[in-house]
Amino acid sequence: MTGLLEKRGLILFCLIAAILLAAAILAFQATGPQGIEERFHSAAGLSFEEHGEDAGHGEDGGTGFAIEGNPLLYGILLCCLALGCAALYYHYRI
Amino acid sequence: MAHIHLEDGAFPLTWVLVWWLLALACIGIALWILRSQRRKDTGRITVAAFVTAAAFALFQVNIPLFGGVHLNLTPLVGILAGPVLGSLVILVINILSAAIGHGGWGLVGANVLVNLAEVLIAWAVFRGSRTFIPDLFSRAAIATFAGLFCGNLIMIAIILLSGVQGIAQSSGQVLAGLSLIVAVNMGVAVIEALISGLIVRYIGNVRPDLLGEQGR
Repeated sequence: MTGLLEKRGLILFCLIAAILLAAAILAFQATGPQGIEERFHSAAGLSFEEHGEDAGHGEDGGTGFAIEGNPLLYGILLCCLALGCAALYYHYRI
Repeated sequence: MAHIHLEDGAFPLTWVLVWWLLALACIGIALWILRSQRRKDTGRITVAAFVTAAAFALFQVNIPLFGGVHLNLTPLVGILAGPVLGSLVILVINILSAAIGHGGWGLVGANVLVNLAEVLIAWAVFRGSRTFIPDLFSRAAIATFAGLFCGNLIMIAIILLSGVQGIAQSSGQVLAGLSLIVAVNMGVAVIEALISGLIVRYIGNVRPDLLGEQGR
């Protein structure tokens, strides 16, 4: 009994792991072999062929915006972040 | 683990701003707490730097399991660095990930909130279950499960609240699809829990002070 009490953490872990693995295998069988991005697009109802490969190359949906994959905008954003960090370092004398 | 893998433009701009503002508010609170501490815990800051590097590197590795997934180590970040430093670690990882094209910039705010939930819950479960589960491996592994599960729930809530632009699916259909992602994610959580548990047990053996376990 004492041994069981000492090992209750391990027993609980094994129980949760077994349930989660069974659920994951069932979910995988339902969806088939898909990459994580493809799985996301499929779940959200987006076409992976249309959005996955062209994603972030300046196209977006309606009122949204797209900067993913645009090197110029990445550069600008990274510069802004670097300048912001430098300003904070200088201001707080880190 | 839980990470919104949608590109910029998937969420309406209003929601992108909402998630960014909420994430910045959380980061602001963390910074305020850090600055209000009189004595800086340099050891924990060093640990936070190490886990940032490790988590960022692992974030980019695609594991060919269930079609391809990646680990986060965010619960381990929470356990080792704590929720305050952990929130800064999460911000850095997400910004660096967006910088190399892993997730959109607009989704950094939402992803910070998802990962922050993982950090907070894992830390709270790890600290809170000390008397019930004295074994370090099991406690860290169960804390990892709890953190990742909550992160996945937050991820679903954010996607459903925001709404994905340009789709014909109803919220129920999106929820069903996302539930399958959560199931797959939680299967991979078993691996993440094993890794986190082993790392925490090892650290507990060699440097228990880093876990605040000296008294045990």
